[in-house]
Amino acid sequence: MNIAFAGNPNVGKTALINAIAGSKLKVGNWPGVTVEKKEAEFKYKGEKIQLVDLPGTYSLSPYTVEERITRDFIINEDPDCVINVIDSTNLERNLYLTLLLMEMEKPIVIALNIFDEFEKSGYKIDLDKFKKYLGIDVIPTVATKNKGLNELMDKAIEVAKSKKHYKEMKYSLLFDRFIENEINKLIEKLKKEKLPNKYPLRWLAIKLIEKDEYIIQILKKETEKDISSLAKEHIMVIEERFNDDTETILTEARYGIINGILKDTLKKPKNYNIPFTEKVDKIVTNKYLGLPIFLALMYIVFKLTFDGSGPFIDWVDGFINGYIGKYVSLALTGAPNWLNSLVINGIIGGVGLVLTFVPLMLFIYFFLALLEESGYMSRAAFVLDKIMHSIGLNGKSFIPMILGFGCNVPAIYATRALENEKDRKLTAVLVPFMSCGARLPIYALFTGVFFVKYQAYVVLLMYILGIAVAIVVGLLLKNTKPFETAKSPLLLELPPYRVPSAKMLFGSMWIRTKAFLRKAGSIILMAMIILWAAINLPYGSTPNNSYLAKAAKVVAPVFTPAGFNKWQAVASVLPGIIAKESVVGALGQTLGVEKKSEKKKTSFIQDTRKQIMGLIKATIDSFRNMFISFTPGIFKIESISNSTFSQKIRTVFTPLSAFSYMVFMLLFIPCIVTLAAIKQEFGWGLMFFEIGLLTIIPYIVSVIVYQGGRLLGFH
Amino acid sequence: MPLSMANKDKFLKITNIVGGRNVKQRLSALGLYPGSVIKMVTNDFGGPLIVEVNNSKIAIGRGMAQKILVNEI
Repeated sequence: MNIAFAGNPNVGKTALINAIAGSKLKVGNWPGVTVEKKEAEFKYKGEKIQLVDLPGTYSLSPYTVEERITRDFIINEDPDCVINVIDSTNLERNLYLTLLLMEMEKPIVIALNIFDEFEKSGYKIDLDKFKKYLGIDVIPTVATKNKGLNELMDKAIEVAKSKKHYKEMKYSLLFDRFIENEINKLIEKLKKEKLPNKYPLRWLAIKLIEKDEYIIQILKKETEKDISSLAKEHIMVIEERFNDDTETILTEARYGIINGILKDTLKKPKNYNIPFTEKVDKIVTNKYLGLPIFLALMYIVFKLTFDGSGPFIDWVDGFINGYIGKYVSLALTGAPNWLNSLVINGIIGGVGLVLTFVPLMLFIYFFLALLEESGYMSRAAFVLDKIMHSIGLNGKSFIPMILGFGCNVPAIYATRALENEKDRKLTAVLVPFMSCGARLPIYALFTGVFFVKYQAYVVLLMYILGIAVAIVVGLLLKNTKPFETAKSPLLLELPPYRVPSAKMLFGSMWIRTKAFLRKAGSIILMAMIILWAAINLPYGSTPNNSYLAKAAKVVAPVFTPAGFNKWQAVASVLPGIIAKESVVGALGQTLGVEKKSEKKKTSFIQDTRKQIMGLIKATIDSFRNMFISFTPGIFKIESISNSTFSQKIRTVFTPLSAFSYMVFMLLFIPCIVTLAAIKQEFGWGLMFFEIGLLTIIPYIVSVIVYQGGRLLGFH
Repeated sequence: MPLSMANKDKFLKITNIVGGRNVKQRLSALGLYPGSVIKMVTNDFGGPLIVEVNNSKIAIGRGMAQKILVNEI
């Protein structure tokens, strides 16, 4: 049995679905678009239920992706029942969508959600009369307190089972007699055409009268006929009579119906306002305070996310590479060396890489859900709208950008907070220019060798350069077709502040992290094996004559204009795609600096105990980092103590070419995990575009830097 | 007058929306259509503004607010 949930944004639909489906929820994207799709399969009282969460929408016009998805789903997938979740404290607007859904003639049950607040604030509704007017069953629910959920599901199943009758279902809500007359005349005409019977004729007639281009186009494709001409005469008659365009006339007519019902059934309290929301908004959306408050909140989110997840990331890294790796390697004793290396460095290394991101994902998704569900996110968009508008981005784009300074991967996923698809794409394209934490070791190495006195300034310059390049690229892309965003002016609801339930936050955090593991994991693993092959084959080669080194020797002259044409520098670029910090290690290897490896013999039990103790310590450290210490740990720069390394670096780089190399590394592909995140969220197309962009731009900029530097007399 | 010129705390009635079907449709889905009564909550003359309609607050970009014509009531 197929049950779809539809409703306005911010009506507690997600909370309701979480409460019903819980851990069974899976999150993905609707095919071809980046709108999040949640679905679940489970058994309820012996009935197999397929639950689908339709995107939150205010209407079913053809103008936004979300609304088209909802429409197409209801028409094409023919759900057995649509549960329309509505905010009972805002019936007038919510019922607008209800009427549109009813026009589609599918079995509907209404969940009158947030009913506790409704009663508390003094509203009264005559439920029986209300149901009779609508001709639909209405169940009061409180998703956050698990109230009314069973009744809702029981009713939905009951309604769904009576499905065969739905075509005979007569909703008693009609437009005024004049409009209704024209609709009926058009229906008669449509009956004579052979149209796919998935379209209810009355709905089709209404859409044609509303001049709905989208449905006209679809019908043209499906039937190779243009039936829009049938409606022309009726559109003219109606527009002449009411002296307005049909879209507006029908919209007002629907609100007329709603107001009629509510007048007879709803008693509003004399003075309804939410004092808490009013008070908070006065401060948070204040002309002067808004921005500082936003920045302070962002700092807190940034700090808690990266400082809190850091110790767990280190622990996971040690657990997979040190502990699991060691014992898998032991188990492979006797196997050929290349196999051992492939398994340990390629496969386990890849799995380890994916898993080290899990703590970060959990933290970031938790805070994103908190910002979103509490209602603050839309205030942030309001506060930032003016600033971000000037560089062609939506106010909410600020959040992924800031997160990008910690790590690009969660930043890519954070673009989910943006409603507009093109805004999301442009933001995701620009995120990699934000200098993430993993690039610091590279800066630390080179500034430690060449710019000891000005270390901090040079590093700061890198951050600023990244932002500057992002702004320039943003301005250039904004006027190209795939990223054109200027046409989406701000229009959004500022929902009342609500305390999100812990269940909801943790649920959202877990299902999204699971999707990351499933979707991004496989791509990363594949890329890791390919990279392993490039770096290590032919097997038994030294860093001097691997395929990578040979290729680097051929490609190196290309980088002459950028100042770093030694093969060691070029060969170290590729491992940087695994993770930027591995550039330092790769340089060490290609330059022939020995790494000291310490191997102490420890027993399995000792090792296991060490891992458990490590996890406990990581938990303690995480709390301490988040709530006690106040200096973000990632900004620490490691000092370079290895003097032979420093000497060898000087044989390959000059100060200017080192600076140019740092610029290249700043702007080059951040890592495969970021690429995998872009693939997961936006598909192959944007990923390859990003690879191209992040290869060409760093080349151009580092050439400009090197040649410009030479002109200024640096070397 | 356009909505963008209205003062804080005033009650307003929408008289007309000048704009494409897209704009009209998006606004009316949020309860903003000719005839609806709204209240100006925040208007700092620069950047977006906030209005209240049926208990819900809506943030509207300045450009769009210029296309909504209102009368003070």
